[in-house]
Amino acid sequence: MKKINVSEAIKKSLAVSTDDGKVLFKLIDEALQNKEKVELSFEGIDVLISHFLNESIGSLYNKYKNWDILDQAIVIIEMDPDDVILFNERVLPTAKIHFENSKERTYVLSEDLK
Amino acid sequence: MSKIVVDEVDTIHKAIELFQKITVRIMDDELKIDFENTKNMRNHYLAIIGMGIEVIINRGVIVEILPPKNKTILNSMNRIGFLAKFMCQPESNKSYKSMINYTNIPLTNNDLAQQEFSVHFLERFSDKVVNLSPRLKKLILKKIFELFSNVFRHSESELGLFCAGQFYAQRKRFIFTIVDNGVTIKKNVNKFLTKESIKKRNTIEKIIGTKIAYLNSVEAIKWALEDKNSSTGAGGLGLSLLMDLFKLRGGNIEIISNDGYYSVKDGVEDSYLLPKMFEGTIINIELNTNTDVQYVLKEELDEKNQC
Repeated sequence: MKKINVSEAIKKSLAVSTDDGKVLFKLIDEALQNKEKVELSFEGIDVLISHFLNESIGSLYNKYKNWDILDQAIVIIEMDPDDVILFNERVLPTAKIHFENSKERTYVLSEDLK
Repeated sequence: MSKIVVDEVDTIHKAIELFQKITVRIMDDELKIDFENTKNMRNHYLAIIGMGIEVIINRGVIVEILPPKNKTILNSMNRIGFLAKFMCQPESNKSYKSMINYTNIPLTNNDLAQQEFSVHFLERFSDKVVNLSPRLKKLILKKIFELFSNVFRHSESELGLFCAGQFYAQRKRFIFTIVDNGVTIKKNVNKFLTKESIKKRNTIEKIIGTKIAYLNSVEAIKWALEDKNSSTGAGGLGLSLLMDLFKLRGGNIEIISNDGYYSVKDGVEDSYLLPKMFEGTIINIELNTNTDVQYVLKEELDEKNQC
């Protein structure tokens, strides 16, 4: 499993830009393509907004077809409880509705992620 | 060389009027903006005025600023960084805790500028807005950062985001203005709704066509304010939490986009179509920082009552 600390990855304590979301997306996607699950730690993040989560994690649902595997591929830890609610109740469901019929979902995640 | 004399800018409508006087300069090569006898200037509106100046500078107009003679107004326009920006003065090393510096962050290549501004805004907000519970404060801050982020995601304006603000200690208000001159809320929302309508058409509707209802500017702003709506599947303006605070007199908000005006002031909602269009979006937020009243989330109160 690949462990990524978000604050170290984007070199900031404020996760408020979509450009930084793209940086994190690349790191997560690289790990997934290396058949690794990802543990994402938000320790050190003082402010987190939905746009950042949309770009970094939501966008993965526009790339990969097999969401059942993707749902299990990323483990989030050390996230503020209000941000957990934001992610589970807004960001993730909205991404799934938005990308359900997307033609860009052409990649398949390995079922052997470790 | 032509000249605009600035009398006072103490309302959003006067700020827009001045913006429009500035930006209507198409043929001028040079323009003087005269603040010498300005009687009153609400510093947060400098975001709108500054954007107007940048628009014409981009057209090649040479702009000369005549600074205020009134020392109070001169000092505050200096402290917020506005005069240094347009008068080729060295930027002050001093940081004034009551000011959210006049800031312009372009649409692209803006990582450092965004980061610096985010840290600056966070410091000011944390220092001055002290009548919200820690959890509510964090949630409100997230909403404000989402507003900043929306400019970069939706405005399509190369000039990007303009912001300025001030903490008024006597009035107990923390006020800031965010403005861009890009694609308006009306255009973005109607584009999204049109796409959605086309997706949802059935076979007969695809053959005979359907009428798509367009929202006017006010309707579009109200649509965007609802948390459940979004033009990119990410939550619209998502301001319901801020709206709840404003309706409890925790502050005021004014939104102008295209010819739509929407506000909540002293807990009362108002909206109307403006006689003239503003090509862009302005959001003016005023937070009540009076510590005689403390604001908490309803669920925090419920939790407390249960204990």
